[in-house]
Amino acid sequence: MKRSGIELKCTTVTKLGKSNVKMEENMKIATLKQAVEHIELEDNKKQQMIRELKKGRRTHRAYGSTFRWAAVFIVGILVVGIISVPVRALVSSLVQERMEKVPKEEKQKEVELLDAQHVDGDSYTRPYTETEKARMEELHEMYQNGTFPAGEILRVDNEEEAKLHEFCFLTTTSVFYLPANRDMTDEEILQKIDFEYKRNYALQERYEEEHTAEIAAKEADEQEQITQALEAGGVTEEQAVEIAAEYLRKIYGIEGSGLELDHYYDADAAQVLVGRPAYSVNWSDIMNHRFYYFMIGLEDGRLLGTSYTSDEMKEQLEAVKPAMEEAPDKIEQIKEQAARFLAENMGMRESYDRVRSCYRTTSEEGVNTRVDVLFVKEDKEAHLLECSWDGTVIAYSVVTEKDYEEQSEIIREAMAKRYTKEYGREVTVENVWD
Amino acid sequence: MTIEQVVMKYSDMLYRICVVMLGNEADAQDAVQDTFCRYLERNREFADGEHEKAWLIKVAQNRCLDMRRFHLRHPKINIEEITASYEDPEYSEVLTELIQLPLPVKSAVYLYYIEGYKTAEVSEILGISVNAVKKRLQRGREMLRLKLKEEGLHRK
Repeated sequence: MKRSGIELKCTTVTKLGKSNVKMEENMKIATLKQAVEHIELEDNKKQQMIRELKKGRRTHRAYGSTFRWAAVFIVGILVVGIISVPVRALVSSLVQERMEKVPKEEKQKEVELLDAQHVDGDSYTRPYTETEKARMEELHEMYQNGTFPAGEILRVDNEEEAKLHEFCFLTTTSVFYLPANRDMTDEEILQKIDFEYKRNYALQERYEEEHTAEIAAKEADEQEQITQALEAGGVTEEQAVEIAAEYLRKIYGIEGSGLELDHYYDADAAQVLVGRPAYSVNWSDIMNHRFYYFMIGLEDGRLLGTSYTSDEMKEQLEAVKPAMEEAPDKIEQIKEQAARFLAENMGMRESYDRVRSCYRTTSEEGVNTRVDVLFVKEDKEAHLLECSWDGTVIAYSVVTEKDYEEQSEIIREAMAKRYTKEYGREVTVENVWD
Repeated sequence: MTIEQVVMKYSDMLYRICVVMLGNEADAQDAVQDTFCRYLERNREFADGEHEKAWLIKVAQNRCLDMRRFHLRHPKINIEEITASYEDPEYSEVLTELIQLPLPVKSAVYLYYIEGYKTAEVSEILGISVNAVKKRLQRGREMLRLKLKEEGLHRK
């Protein structure tokens, strides 16, 4: 069934002549084959994968230094959710209306252009200025609310021509040429926002077209799951939104009005949230770059997880981070604050076998910016609250103690490996439990 | 076969494909795991080992495409991380060149040249016509040849 050996058929004559080129290319392919064969999945990762597969769950893996349970939760929403969410759910109704008016041929050209580009993403001739960044946030909000550009970004297909214009898009290499000596105008910013929406919409639409049968089968399967759960006393999607809205008020102290809301049944949530299927309900404050995520259990309407992200969060967390020697003294107070939050803000007053905390330290960077507090119940399921060092709760999720311990160790190992590589010397990372 | 046997038999092969497709080890690991999840969910019968292998490659390939679509705006290519362990710089160079090929081209190039599938089999796995496979292979050869030229024509 398989070919043996490696043969590369040349069709173009080069200066070296056919035979030399063929020989060189054959050598190159042979080298390539050897190089690829060096890529192996580490044995411990295979074993971890097997364990998780046997349990019917996916392994959570580290996305980088900010990886935590909340990150798993968010990534779950993004990777699993957005891909499977119909394109209509991603944009406001006004934007959707605009996107639907884009001729099919134009959308087709967008995706063909993306396919033809041999680059992995967009690039720019200069970074955005602070003024542009601020204006972009405002215009993004206005765009969602129906303020659209009068024209379209100029597209050119060669570098020489691109250099003749102050503001244009070079299609061949996906480069945005921004004005060299001034800020972008509002019209130019709107054109760029519009361009990106159209392109993403076209891309998502093609995905849905290419996977019509698969999506239909998945939807039917999901509908069946929902029907069965409802018959057994589960909650509807509308009820899940109401429950999440209540938690939005209780936990974050805000109302959902004025924010972009999207919600859907996330059949894959069971793979990241203690085996329970859930609805995903999210509010986006696009103007201020704040995002609130909720997972509400299908079977009982229980809050299974929530998290919040914003642009300024990293700075806020860093600002209250203590020195290594001060950290242990803060733990008791953070535990108390977390317990109060659980009872008063979330209405969860249960008895717990124990309350544990865990934070991470590295020999190079001191304590990490977050402390996890784990309220472990008799059945070993636990409320996990992620807190900043001033006791502010940033995220909540339902976990099992065992999973949390395993994940903490995996993350510790991954961080140690990454820091050691980054710093070029051995860096130790420790999980400090209390 | 048990899931343990399936993982031990195919994980390296799938991981290689996903690393090349995604250019990122962590994403590749996710894609492999998702592929095995799918394998478990489907619980289907295969005509033989080759059928099973081709099915897994197809699922992994689709998963990589999904992930690349999602990451299109925020690509997480990390070739240096992948090639860091190679002592021979030539290995790093050729692998980097492969990873940098456009996704549709490198899928075909990988399956044909590395996995050794025939064009008809590549066509089946990728769900495209044999002619399309041939075009992608031709394009891949041209692009790799250009790279050879850029490198000073094989450092003679």
